[in-house]
Amino acid sequence: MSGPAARRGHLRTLGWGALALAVSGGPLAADEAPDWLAQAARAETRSLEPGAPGEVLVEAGHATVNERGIVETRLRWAVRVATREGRTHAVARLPYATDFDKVRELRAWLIAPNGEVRRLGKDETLDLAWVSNDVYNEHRVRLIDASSRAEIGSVFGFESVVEQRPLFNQLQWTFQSHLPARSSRFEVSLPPGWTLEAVVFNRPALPPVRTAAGYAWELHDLRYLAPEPLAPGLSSLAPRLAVSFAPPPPLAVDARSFASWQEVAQWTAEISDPRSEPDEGIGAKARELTLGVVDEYQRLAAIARFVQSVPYISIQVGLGRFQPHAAPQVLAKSYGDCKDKVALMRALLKAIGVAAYPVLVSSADRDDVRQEWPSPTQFDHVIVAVAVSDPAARAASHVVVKHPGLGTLLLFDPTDENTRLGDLPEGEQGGLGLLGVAASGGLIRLPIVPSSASRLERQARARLSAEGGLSVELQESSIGQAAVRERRLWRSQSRRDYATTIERWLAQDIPGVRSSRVEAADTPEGGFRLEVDFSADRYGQVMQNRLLAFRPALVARQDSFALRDSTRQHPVVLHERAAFTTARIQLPPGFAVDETPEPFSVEAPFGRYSLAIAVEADALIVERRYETRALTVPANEYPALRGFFQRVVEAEQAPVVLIRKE
Amino acid sequence: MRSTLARLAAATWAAGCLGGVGAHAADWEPIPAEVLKATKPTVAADADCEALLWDVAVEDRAQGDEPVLILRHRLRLKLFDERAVESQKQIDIAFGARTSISEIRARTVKPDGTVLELRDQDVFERTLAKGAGLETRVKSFALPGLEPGVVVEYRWVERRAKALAHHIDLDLQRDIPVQLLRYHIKPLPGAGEAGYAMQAKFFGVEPVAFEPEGNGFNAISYRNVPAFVEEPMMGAERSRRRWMLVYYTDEPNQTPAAFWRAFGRGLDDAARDARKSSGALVRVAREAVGDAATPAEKALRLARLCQSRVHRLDDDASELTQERRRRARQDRRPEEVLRSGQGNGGDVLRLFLALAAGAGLDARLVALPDGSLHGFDGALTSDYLMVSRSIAVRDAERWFFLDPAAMYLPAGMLRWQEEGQQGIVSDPQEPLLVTVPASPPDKSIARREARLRLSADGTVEGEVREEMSGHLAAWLKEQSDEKSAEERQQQLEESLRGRLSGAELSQISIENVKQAELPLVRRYHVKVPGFAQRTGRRLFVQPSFFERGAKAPFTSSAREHPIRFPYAWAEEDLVRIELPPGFTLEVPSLPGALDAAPVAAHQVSAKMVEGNVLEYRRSFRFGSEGHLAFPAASYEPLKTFFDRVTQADDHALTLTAATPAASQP
Repeated sequence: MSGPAARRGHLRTLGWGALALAVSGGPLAADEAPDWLAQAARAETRSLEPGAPGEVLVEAGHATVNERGIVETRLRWAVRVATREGRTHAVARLPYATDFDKVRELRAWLIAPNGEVRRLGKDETLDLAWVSNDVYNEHRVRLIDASSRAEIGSVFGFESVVEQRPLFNQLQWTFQSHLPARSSRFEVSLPPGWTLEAVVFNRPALPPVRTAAGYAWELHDLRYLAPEPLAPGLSSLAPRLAVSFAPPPPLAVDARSFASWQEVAQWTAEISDPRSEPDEGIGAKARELTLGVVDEYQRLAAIARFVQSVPYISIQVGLGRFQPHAAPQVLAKSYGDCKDKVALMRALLKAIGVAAYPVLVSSADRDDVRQEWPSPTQFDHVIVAVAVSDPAARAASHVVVKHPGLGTLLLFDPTDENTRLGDLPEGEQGGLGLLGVAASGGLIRLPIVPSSASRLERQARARLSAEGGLSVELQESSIGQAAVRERRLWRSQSRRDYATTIERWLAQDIPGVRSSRVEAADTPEGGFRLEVDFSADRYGQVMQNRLLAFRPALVARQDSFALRDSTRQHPVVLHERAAFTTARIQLPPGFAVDETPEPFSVEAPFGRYSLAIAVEADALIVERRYETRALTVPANEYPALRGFFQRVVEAEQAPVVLIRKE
Repeated sequence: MRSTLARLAAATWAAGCLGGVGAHAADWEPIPAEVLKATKPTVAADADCEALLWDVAVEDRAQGDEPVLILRHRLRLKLFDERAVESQKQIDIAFGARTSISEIRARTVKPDGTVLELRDQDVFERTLAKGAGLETRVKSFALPGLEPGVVVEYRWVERRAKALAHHIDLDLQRDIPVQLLRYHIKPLPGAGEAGYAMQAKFFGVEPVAFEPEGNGFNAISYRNVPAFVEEPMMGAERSRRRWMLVYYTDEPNQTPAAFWRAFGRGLDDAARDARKSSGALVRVAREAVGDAATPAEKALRLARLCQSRVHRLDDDASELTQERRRRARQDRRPEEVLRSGQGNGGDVLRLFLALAAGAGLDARLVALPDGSLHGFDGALTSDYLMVSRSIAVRDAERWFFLDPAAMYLPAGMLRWQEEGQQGIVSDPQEPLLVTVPASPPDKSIARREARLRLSADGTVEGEVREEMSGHLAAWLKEQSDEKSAEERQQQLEESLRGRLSGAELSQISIENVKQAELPLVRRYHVKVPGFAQRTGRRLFVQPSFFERGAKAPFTSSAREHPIRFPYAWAEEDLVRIELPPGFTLEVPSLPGALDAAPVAAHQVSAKMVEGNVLEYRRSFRFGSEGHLAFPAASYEPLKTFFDRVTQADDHALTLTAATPAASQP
């Protein structure tokens, strides 16, 4: 399941084949563009939206399904380069899988602004591994890269033919990439009597046009989808089409069709249940892991910890991109991908009498999976749902779902080694998942873990000297996904590099900072703890030898302010996050507080923030609370959202002024 | 040299010198129990993973009528924690065309002695890229049964067809600590008889003697080698790492002095044709130098002529496609370059030499190392490191250096990679070893001016002008020469917002991006909300507009490597801030001057002018008198100096509301 979704920029297909489009005419003379491309290149150049590096002139796919269910896909695509950076789009990228697809043809042309045509064929074609870091993977990409030859004003086009033996009778077409597109068309031709259903996402309904042998969908003048920080994925922005087709009964083809989510669940169970059976070795391992552990939740936790510690290694061959290796094999090798880990965990649990089920999810975007289209290709990852009793569910109440037939299910991702039992990775929260159970499976909504279970708490004990020197003992405790972010940072680098990273973070706000101790560790409860002692000899600023000014918000959060642009095209995706800081700053002897910033608090639907400073004898008590909600904020609310973050940044810059007592 | 070696190799293997090695194909050596049980590293206390052995046998062989370079790699690692497991769980061995990887063996040994062998069928080969004359493959495997505490071992044989161990870099330091690092090296059989000898030059480490092993191999080893650590401002990584250059020479007894003399003569030979100036070139040269009095002045005028008259075909911003740039690599005669106005970097140097000859100047090629890769090493009898070429012009008793092929530097400056380096000035008789001077801070200066109005709510708004010269400008020009005007503006906006959150820019103009002689000039209108902070009746403003939010260059408390700045530079800032009505400046208390003579200096001053305008001046310079390199022991004072500079630049001035009404934003 960790295999890549097939994407050719704008193009996303099912079964990892490639879509293509009919090419009219026979072989072309060298250095002469085909008529469709020559015509596209003659189209008047028009001004584009700011930032658009080019414009797609033609984007057309035609999938022809034969009576055996084989799909021949033909593609035509042409782009006009508008900027120097836009030259990187003068590339033909055709993903395919060596075990299911045959690339019959790939030809490209580059038309210079002066009209000179250059044909690019086999000599310029590269065949690349789609994923470079898997141990093995059948996914590849055929590529013709004309970016180094393209100039501003060049038109690049290609056409391809791919024959695909699909796993599923389903196709998908995304009408555009980020680039603006003048025209985008997709056509499906079917044998007589075959049926077709289609659904369109990210735009109002788009009725198809009947063609001689099928249907066609077409859109024009699609606007530029500018890349923006914290934006939803392209699958939630660009118009896209999902198609399911089927032969007339009683005909059947090798590929599967799905009429409902229940059928997808049935298929998932068929390919994964037999691989999730325990053998003696699994049974022995399960007993070893749970020896002496009575509490149900702790037994689950022991098994979860073990499966998480199994290194993630991906080997994708044939159906293996959906089907796990057998659990005993995974245990023997001690490595596997997400499917393998789920199979291993299910087998270990079954060995101790606990039922568990696979749950297919999308790790990309919480709005990625659409209920209207039953298809396994909407998912790229698998996690596990464990049947638990009510007491065990209470220990992990934020990640349980109630199922009418299966009872209480606890969701867990054994692939994410940083997310503990009782929590879910941020990217998986709130989306739709498929419970892969034969009889009673189907879509479920994954829970969103509230910020109360995903927060960072910081305690600082600081001392300020009369000369402005600062020394601080900082302790951070984080839980949930806040802990995951910290833990990931900690585990991704050596101890020395981690200490350097922490010093760099502190130095953003405290010039001349020096740390004397950096200690970090997981906590037994599944959280993360960081302790740092640091100092800076001139943090406060002495003025006129009687005033001392300093910024009481000692250090900022590590996740920085990302909304710098003043305008916005797309919604902003926020997650459930919270950070609370309490700092006690010991004032230097002989000084009193002259001025402090007014208490500041701001609350909005997407979050809240407050900063309060209290004077307590010879110390300042600084309280900061910051929370955001898991929301997708519409673009028209961007000014308010940006204003919120801007006010937070400004509040944290406000100084306190001390005055020397007479 | 290479073609000579190829002839030598062909003759040698024609005689049939194939022989088995075998000495390094033994089975796994036993692992001592204490190693299996060990829970802590020995080389570095905080290491997650430690190599117990990193062993490479390098052998030149003949195979049929072709040479083949064989490298046998053997590694034994101890994994102490989950980080180590994560880093070692998958092994990828990439290789290209004409290289094969074979005999992969691997195993995991658990602390209790349990052994898990890698099966042959669990080694996968993939072609990462193929086509268009390119092929990159990888053999991958996952080590079974990994967990903290295990020892993993793996080995493989790499065969590079048509290759010899000539000019190859061998790492004597890895990214993880190594208990025993060992190389076995076997030169091509018969090379000695043919008069060739294999040489090794050590960098960054004390040389050790090769020990004969009795099978044609000679071995060296190092124990307890620390991991290589990357640090900011450490200069060229190659100059900080421990490594060894292996090469063949046909004059094994040649002294370095003799080698460099021969090298400098060869360099002079290469430039001889270019110095034959034709009549047309002489006319152009004489016209260009005009009334210049000194050789240096004449050389500068000729360099400017070269920079302005030759459109560079080999630059990424040439407006030519990459393919046309590739075609531009062919050499042209100086007359043709001048006539067509097109050429590559080498063409420009030859044109300069021809013009200089026409103007009666004594101009030579000077060979230099690229300081961003490695400095000159006079003990090396190889030109491996001498990758750059510039020009030296004799001016009375001294040499004047310049690079007419530098696209974005004013005439008379060399690229920073060449400044401060030792090089060889060509000569038909006695080439000279020279040190090219580093340019002073004033040659690379940023002059910046902001005229701003401050509102009572802390917003500043106004006009900004920045002018950069020398290396500062060259770097910025190189960053933006390929970009469109809009992209350059966007680049500037992003850079400014990186340090001034919420800054809004308009009316942006960026000038002289492709002009070598002129400074880069950026002008814009800026508005920054929240620039000053309020507390009740006070407003705190940090007048160092150009340094606000800038990152400190050194943040780490510890330092391992020496520090190397690329070039000297200076900053001269003027910031005028019109205060909001009703606010006055409390007595300005500014940090004192920082004087680290002769290396660096920093000074700020502020005063009120024209009634309600705060005028702030800042002056900074670094690297005077060529002080750009510092030993690691100097890190502490250097860091302290830069920390003080950052603190001084962060210094806020206090404005006080004269009336309660004024304090209302």
